[in-house]
Amino acid sequence: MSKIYSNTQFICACTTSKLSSSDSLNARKYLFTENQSFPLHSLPKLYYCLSCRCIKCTACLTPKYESKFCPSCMIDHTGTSSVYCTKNCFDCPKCSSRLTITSKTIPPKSKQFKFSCTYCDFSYSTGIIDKPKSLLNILKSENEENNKEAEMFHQFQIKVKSTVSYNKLLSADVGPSGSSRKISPELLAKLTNLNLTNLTKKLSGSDNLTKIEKLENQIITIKPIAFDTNQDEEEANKRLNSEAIIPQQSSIHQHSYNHPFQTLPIPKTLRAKKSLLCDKCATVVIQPEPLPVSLKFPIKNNAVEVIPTVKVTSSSSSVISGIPNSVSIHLINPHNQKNSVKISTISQLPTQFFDNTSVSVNVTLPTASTVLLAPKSDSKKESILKSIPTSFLSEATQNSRTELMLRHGSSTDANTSYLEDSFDESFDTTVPIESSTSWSSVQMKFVVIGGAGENVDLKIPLHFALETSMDGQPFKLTYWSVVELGNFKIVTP
Amino acid sequence: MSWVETSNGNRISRDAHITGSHKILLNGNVTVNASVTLNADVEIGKSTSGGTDSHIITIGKYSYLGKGCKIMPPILSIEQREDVAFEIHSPIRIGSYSIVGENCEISSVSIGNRVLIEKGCKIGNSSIIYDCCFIREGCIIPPKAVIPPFSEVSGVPGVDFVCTELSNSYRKLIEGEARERYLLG
Ligand SMILES: [Zn+2]
Ligand SMILES: [Zn+2]
Ligand SMILES: [Zn+2]
Ligand SMILES: [Zn+2]
Ligand SMILES: [Zn+2]
Repeated sequence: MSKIYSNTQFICACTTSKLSSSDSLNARKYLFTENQSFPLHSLPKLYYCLSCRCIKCTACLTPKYESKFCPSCMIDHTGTSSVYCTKNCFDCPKCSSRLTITSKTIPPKSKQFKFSCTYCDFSYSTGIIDKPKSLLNILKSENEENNKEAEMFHQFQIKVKSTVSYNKLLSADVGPSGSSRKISPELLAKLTNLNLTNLTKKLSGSDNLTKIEKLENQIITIKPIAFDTNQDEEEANKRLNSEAIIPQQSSIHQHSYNHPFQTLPIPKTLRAKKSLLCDKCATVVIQPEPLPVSLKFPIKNNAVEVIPTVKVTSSSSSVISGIPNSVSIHLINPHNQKNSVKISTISQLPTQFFDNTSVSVNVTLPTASTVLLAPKSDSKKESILKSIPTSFLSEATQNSRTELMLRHGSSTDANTSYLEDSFDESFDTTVPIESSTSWSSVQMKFVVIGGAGENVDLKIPLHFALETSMDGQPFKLTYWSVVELGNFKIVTP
Repeated sequence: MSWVETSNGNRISRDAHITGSHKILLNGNVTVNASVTLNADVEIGKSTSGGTDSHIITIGKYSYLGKGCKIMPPILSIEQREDVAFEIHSPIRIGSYSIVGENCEISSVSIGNRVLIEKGCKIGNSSIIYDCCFIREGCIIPPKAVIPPFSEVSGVPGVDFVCTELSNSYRKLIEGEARERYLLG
């Protein structure tokens, strides 16, 4: 029964409180009936503010930087102004893997450094270095030289691209495909306007002649591509790519470290350790110890430590149209205190929670919708087994099989009462389900009307009002969550 | 499928491929599933072995090795001896409450405590994964990579490799997951 992989997501208080300050239950009028979209968060990404008594997401928390360190060599850089590691940690510009650095001495006392990627074929050798200088500074000065050329080539590339699209535009004007086309006067003018001579002049000011030659060759080879009437832009680009000068257009991620001219080793960006503060009252909800390798958090108000895990199981992947079908909602207490949870839902399920327009869905919860959960158990084997709802026990191990046999004897599960045919939203019967365990399973029923023979993807909004204690004080939280029930085949009775 | 259970609670499938078992230390309540390869029958570099009785593969308590995963001590160097190349390895250590998914290949120097590796990952030679990391399905961690504590890593280098911060919520979640996997199989 994984708490990591969950089909339940949560709505942060910053979404619901905008709509109604006192009672987040009211928020549903706005949230769920006007087809609003709202951010959903997985439980591990949420926190809670002890003084505001609400859940917080990273959007409604303010970061405060505590320290910074290099994620590669783990050295602390706090107090420096650098954003990069200054201890010779570099990443590959092509694949972002780590680069290994070797050096060779060039007599009498010069040095040359070579960077090699641990994953791809990238390597880079610096020029010959006469004076002692940090690798970061060596690369910085080499980068400045390269940038001049890069800038000019980038300009050139833009021109070529615009010419290709221009050509495409023109060819669209010229008769049906396959017919011969002549170069229009406008196109000829465009060709002259490419201003290639100007570019070459600029480049000759630079001292790297081989690169100029390369570029000039490129200009020559590009010309026939750009004006070949049988080439569309995509094909032209493909040819350009095969020249290995303009890298492949690809995913956004790749773009970030595969920029056309970023062929130098990339200094490792430092990572920050940060606290998060409530944006309303500045209470710290999470604070790490500043040391890079420390795993400690002097303050950690993670929602996952208080808010019960919600899991859903359904016995069937099909539902009978017009008849109540049931799913089990399992609540597992993660807190070392008693937790009372009142669950409610919206009986007439708003349309944004299912994907089939030819059906309507009604949802009901048991009459006793307040669940009492015992404090979470210790980490002894027996206690952990007891903390797992029966639906999640397996036959795979002796431990689990034994626990299953014990439960079949006692029937811890059969503790929910259910009022048939009631689709009333207000089930005020506050008789709590007594539970000696840290989990409880509640039967939720839903009726799908119409859509026989079709499929429906169902999600259910659930509102929770939680009461527990924190540091000896009563602690209350209310929040909405959205539970994915999955896809059901609708069958006729 | 049949299992061997040791006195300190390790559950080892009879269908696991284990070599050099006297150089393997399982710290208790470790699960080794079918078709798992634990290869400790390798030569270790002198500088890396901490004594005669040190182990080549060490796995902390409650760690879980999924079906078909391969745990291979990292290759430190290749030595030429009379025209024959010998691989020299260094030991591999996997911490406690760590989960290795199905069909992963692991050649790290060390994997910390509470690390969750989803199925089909390749964790490169001599890499280091610190505590509380979440490695997503099919991820390739390049050789010698260092993954700092509380990282979520996904993708393939040069394609879509991403390493971001992981919420500290996962520290307890991964530990709980490991304890439950031991009990539920
Ligand atoms: Zn607050
Ligand atoms: Zn928020
Ligand atoms: Zn560094
Ligand atoms: Zn690379
Ligand atoms: Zn760009």
